[in-house]
Amino acid sequence: MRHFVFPGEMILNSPSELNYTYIKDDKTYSKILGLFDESSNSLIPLKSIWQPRLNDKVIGVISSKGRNGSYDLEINQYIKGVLLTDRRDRQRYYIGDIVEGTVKEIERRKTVILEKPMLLKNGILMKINTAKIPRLMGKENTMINELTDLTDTKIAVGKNGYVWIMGENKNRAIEAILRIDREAHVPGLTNRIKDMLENKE
Amino acid sequence: MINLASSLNKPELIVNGKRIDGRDFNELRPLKIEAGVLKNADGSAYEEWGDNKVLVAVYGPKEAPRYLADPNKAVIKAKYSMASFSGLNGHGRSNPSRREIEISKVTSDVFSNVVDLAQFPGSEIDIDIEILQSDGGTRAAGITAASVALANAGIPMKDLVYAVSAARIEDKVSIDVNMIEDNYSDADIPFAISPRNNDVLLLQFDGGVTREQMKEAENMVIEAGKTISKIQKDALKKSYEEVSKQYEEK
Repeated sequence: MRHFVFPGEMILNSPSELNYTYIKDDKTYSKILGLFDESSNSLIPLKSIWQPRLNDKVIGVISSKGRNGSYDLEINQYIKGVLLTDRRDRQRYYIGDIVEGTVKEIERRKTVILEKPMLLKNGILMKINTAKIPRLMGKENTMINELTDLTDTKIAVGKNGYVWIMGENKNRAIEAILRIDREAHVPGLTNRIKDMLENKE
Repeated sequence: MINLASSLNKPELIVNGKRIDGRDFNELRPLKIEAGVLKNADGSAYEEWGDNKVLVAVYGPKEAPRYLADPNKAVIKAKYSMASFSGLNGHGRSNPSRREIEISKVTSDVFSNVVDLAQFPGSEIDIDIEILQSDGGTRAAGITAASVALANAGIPMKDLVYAVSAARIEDKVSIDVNMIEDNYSDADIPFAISPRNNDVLLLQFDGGVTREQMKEAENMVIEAGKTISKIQKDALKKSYEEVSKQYEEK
């Protein structure tokens, strides 16, 4: 059973280290607006702000170029991405390029150093709230695999909320992603998306 | 600008045991809040409280300018402003007035106590409070709406704060005063409360009350706060519930 919780609402009578909660006087309180699942004891945020973690896959846009093969990336409103490339690396990037990378290092929780860059070409970039990213991926990537299969597109998802889509049917994929963003909190989403994409064919 | 309020033209504030607009002493004006009204803001809320109309937008956390940035935590920057058409007096005609600067500061202080600032070092969270129409108690209305807008933006915070003003009208303690009562009342005390443990986050005071009246005002505010908190929560979950309802009917 899921129910709404609000900032400051007590969710557990005992102290418990859950995401998006804090402990006060041996009780657990919510810090955000979300849904609390009583059976699994987990708090699902309805909106959240991305906090970088090691090995997070992110998508960014090159915003400036340094001298020795380093690039600055815009990945979030306040977290800056830095990409360091080797001189032997043949790939050159230009301002405005969309790049996917993995977080290698986090500096003072404000700057993330990226590795394993991959240039994303000829696609379209969109942004959804980071709270909906796990839903867009689905359990063991089931949702995203279904989406790419049924629409015949290529989709890259960044933990920071950016989603990149390429392919002829990208408008249908965008429609589906917006629907996931809107309906992520209603159970049975995977089936609805599947129905939506199959029936239109 | 002529100050319309003076002791010479003071109206009867209590008529037949009721207040000037027919309310009881502990009765709130009708309150309506809607969350997520602005598409381009990270979080927003629109509130109508009596004749007050307030629009709040929240942006951030975003990179703070260097002079403001704190390497250990986020900085809250609230900006309260009254639209030039919001009241009878000449508001919003030039730079922020002394009063607007004051209210911006106290609002920033209220939210600095509840928002989890340590999570976003070096950043800034902007709260823009725009008073579209004013009828007394706008700082309380602004804080109540800003709280909803922050939760709507997904910013982690310890509590959903509400604010309401108390006043002494002659010998009666009352809450949520309107413009006329505000101008002529004998004491004006805006409160901001953190409902989890009833911590007082803002208390401003102008006029005079006895110790007992102060205690009575606090109790009245906390009692009325239950209603305000419920309206805030309903506003936050409304848009999500509407989507759920579409599927429940099918």
